[in-house]
This record gives sequence, C-alpha cells and structure tokens, in this order.
Amino acid sequence: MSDIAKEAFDVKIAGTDQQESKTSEIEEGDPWNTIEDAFLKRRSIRKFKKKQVPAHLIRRILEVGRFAPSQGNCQPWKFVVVRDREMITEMENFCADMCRKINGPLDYTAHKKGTFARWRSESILKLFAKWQPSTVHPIPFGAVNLIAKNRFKVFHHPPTVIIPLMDTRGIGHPEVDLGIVGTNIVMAAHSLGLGTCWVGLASFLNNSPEWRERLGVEEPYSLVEAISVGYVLGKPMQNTVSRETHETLWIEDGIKDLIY
Amino acid sequence: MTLLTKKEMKRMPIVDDASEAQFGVVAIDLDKCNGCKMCTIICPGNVLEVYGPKHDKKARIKEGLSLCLSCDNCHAICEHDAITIVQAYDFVGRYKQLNRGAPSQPRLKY
Ligand SMILES: Cc1cc2nc3c(=O)[nH]c(=O)nc-3n(C[C@H](O)[C@H](O)[C@H](O)COP(=O)(O)O)c2cc1C
Ligand code: SF4
Ligand code: SF4
Repeated sequence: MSDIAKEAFDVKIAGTDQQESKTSEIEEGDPWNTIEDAFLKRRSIRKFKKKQVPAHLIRRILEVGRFAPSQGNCQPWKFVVVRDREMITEMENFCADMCRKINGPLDYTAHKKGTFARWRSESILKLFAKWQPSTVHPIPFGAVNLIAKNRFKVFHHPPTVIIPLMDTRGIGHPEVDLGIVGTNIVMAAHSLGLGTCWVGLASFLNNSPEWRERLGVEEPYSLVEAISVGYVLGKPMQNTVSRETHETLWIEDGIKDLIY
Repeated sequence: MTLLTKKEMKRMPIVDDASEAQFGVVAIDLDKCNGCKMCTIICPGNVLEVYGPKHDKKARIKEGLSLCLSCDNCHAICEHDAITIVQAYDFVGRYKQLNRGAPSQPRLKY
C-alpha cells in the first residue's frame, strides 16, 4: 500500500471506530437522532405553494436518489422531471379522467341496495377484482371514487413532478429498487424542507401511448409511480402520526417470540 | 396458523355496509379546534370539513360514507392538538387486517 493510501485507510478505520462507539453510547429511551426524527416526521404533502423549486435543488435530490442500493447494483431506473405547470395540469386531467372512466361502471355505492344497477356494478367489480384484486382494495377504490367526484386530486398541483421510471429488466424485483430510489428522493427533499407525495395513481399514464411518448417512456421502461415535489403549506411536520404496531416474530436462542 | 380462509381471500368487502367495511374514525375536540382548516386541506380521505355558526366554525366529519384511511395526518398538522385517530380501518374478507396491535406514537421504551 502506498503511504497516501495507507493514511486514507487509517483515517477511514478511525472514522468507523468513532461511529461504533457512538452507537454503543445510545441507551434505551434516548431521544431520536436527527435522521430518525426526519423519517418520523416526513408526511405526504397534498397542498403545495405555487413557487417553483430551484432546479439545483431538484438536481441535488436526484443525486441522492442515484446512490440508492439495488439488487446486483443494477440501478434499474431513469428519471423524468416535469416542471411545466400546464403539462402537470394535463397529466392531472388525464389521470382524473381515467378515474372517472373506471369509477363509472364499478361504483356500486352510487346505486340503492336491491336495485338492478347496484347488482350489475357489484358484479362488474367482483369480476374486475379477480383480475386485479389490489386495485379494488377499499382504500384506492375510495380514492378513485373521490377523484371521479372532483373531491380529491391525483398530483395535488405541485410545481415539480419527479418520475422514476423502472427498467423492467432489473434484477430480481426491480419494483423494490424503485421504492428505495423513491425513498432516497423523498427523504432528500424532506431534509431540504421540501414536501413530497408519492402518486401511485400516476401509473395510468403508463398505459397511454400519447403520454408514454410525451414523457419519453419507451421499452423496456415502465412508469409505476410519480413523486410530487414542492414547498409545503402549513406545518405538517410538527408532530408525528400514530401508526399501528405490527406483530414482529422475534427469533433468538432458538426461541420464537411475538413482539409488538 | 391459518390467517385467512380461501373463501375469505376471495371475498371483497362491500364498502358502504358498516358490517363489512369499517373505515378509520377520528375524534375532534371542539374546545381545542379553532377552525383553521389545515386538517381538511391535507386529509387524503376527504373526510373532514369545517362548518358551524359564524365565529364558531369547527372541524367535523362529513356526512355520508367516510373514507378515512387512519393515516393520522390530521393529527400531525393540527397546531391545537384537537384531532386524533381513535380507530384504524378494517374490512371483512380479503382485506381483513392481520397481525396488528393498537396504533401508537414512536416508542423509545420497550
Ligand atoms: C407507493 C405509494 C403510492 C402512493 N400513492 C398515493 C396517491 O396516488 N395519492 C395520494 O394522495 N397518496 C399516495 N400515497 C401516500 C400515502 O397515502 C401515504 O403515504 C399514507 O397515507 C401515509 O401518510 P404519510 O405519508 O403522510 O405518513 C402513496 C404512497 C406510496 C408509498
Ligand atoms: S387543524 Fe386542528 S384546529 Fe385546524 S380545523 Fe383541523 S382540527 Fe381544527
Ligand atoms: S386519519 Fe387521515 S384520512 Fe382519516 S381523517 Fe385524518 S387525515 Fe383524513
């Protein structure tokens, strides 16, 4: 090893030692550190200020995104950034229209119980559920219904939309890698004081030849999610939410235990 | 351990039937709420609205089918600690909740 390389190596080791001693100093009950707190206070933002986010901040966020881990380091993504308000509005209108088209025949709640129309749409929904069950989970079904009735938005009118396209040839489960890239993007934005919202409903754009062309989505890429980015209205990050305590199977010393 | 029967797995809950679909429930403390509307703006389920007599407008749950996804975002944004989730959503059949404990804030003591 050259002297310089050795020196760099020693410095690195010293850094690692320092980090390790820090970890052992933390005791049960100690307050959350900055990074933990950032994760706990991130919220999905659904109301943005009109002001555009400077391009260099979006570039900075993409840089953090780029360093996400992925299976076999295959990095199965490519980014599209949309910063034209008119185009974002057109994307919004297209997805909302799709929601209306889907909601029309499927929304049995629009008909009185016991009527033929009710029976018909319940039947259509059940058929649809056999094909795509997760899509008609009551929560997304409810969201599509609200959007169809103009009571909810798809992108929430952000100044910038980041779309991480998925390379469908990714190793193993590229959807997971895409989720990680998205988390990097979301957390980098959050650390800069910006708000984000994942937009799963943006995937409607993937099935439209016109939008695939406009957004440069070509084989083997697929548009599975979008992330709205902008300046936050109000103080949605002042408190943390409560979340359910999932059962965790804890295996240690050959004993299986359930913890919450 | 069987968590869902095959029959349950195929059964879709009817969302406007309270015996099949229980959406989230929030409680609003009307004494603390000042009607600032922030919760209505961020609620993804479009569950909340602010109304009432002049000078005494408060957040309330909208009439009709509630689509609350018990995200608790309304609680996080409220500067007056006036609103909290009291019950998480749950459905019968395929989307029955499994292996969940009660909602809680981030914990530091176990
Ligand atoms: C993959 C993914 C897709 C999502 N799609 C949407 C969406 O289309 N519209 C929306 O309003 N929120 C969407 N969300 C946000 C969730 O509703 C939100 O994360 C959840 O309610 C918890 O709230 P929080 O993010 O503020 O903690 C999505 C989240 C994820 C992870
Ligand atoms: S955010 Fe809080 S104070 Fe404001 S309207 Fe909602 S419940 Fe009331
Ligand atoms: S918990 Fe979420 S969905 Fe339910 S009322 Fe509050 S903000 Fe709306």
